[in-house]
Amino acid sequence: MIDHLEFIRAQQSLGMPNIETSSKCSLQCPQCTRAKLQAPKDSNKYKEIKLRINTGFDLPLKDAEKLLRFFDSGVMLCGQLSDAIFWPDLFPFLEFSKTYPNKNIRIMTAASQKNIEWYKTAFELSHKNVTWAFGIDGLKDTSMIYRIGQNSELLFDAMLLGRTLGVKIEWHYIVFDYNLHQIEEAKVFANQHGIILNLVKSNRGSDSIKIPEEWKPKRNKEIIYDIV
Amino acid sequence: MTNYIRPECMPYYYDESGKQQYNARLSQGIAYTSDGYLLPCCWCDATSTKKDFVELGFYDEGLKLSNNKSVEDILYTNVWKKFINIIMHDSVNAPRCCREKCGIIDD
Repeated sequence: MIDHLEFIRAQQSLGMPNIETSSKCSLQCPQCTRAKLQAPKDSNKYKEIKLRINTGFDLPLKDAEKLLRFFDSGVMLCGQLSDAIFWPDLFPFLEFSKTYPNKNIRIMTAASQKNIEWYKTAFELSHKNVTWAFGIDGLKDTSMIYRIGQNSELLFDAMLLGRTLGVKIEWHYIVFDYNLHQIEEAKVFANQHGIILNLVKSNRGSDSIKIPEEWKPKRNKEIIYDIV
Repeated sequence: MTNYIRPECMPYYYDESGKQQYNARLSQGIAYTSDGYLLPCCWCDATSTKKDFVELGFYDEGLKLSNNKSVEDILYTNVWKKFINIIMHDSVNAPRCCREKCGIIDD
């Protein structure tokens, strides 16, 4: 009984919920659960992920409001299946979130199907405690090796635009073999532009995309925050 | 076999001797799924572990967020109470993802 109440108290005061805003994403990252869509169509893997995507829906704005009201620290829009840029109510939500300007909104994004004007509008709607965290694993020429389908150049432009408009911008960089040599350049870039660079030790390696031994997490994902 | 669970969604846990120990931080927040339900954390929101949470009642229609006035209404239900009791005191019967992600196996 006490444990249950302590759980609720801790989650309300310290927790930040991980919110799936839809089941839509345009990327084809090999270790994403969506990659099962590449399995044979008569396999269980394919059927399960297809069902999961089909039963998903856009987060109703009313539910988003309930979540933001409950969690004192704010909310994190971070999908297992989706990217927040595809949520049709993102702009109305950002507008609503201004009624809670002290709550943090963390928007984790890696997809790139919008244009720079869209980001301008999104950033202008973002209050001082909104953070945009971009998943770019390497520099412009390498990130799409894991983030298949990503227009990394647009996302770099978006990060820079965000900084110009005074928005908090984070760069989440999963370290793979192919981008290990670019970390120093990434630090310089982040430092120059006031971007918070977070290096990620992840389990997302595969036979074709390897993770350097020293960048493998002990167990679950590890993030080295603000490396610059 | 998992000796005990050190849940990253809880501020503390009980070690093998039953002594309460504190987590350095609450690293896992509750998850809201693409079909409108709340789960203890995003690691629980996987196809491979869904069956466990269906059996525990997390996917009962009445626990859908849109069917409730607030997040509290869901978290105070017996489904969540029972889940917390399992991960804190009955690790053998905890969902697979809780054992895999937060389970401690002492040699």
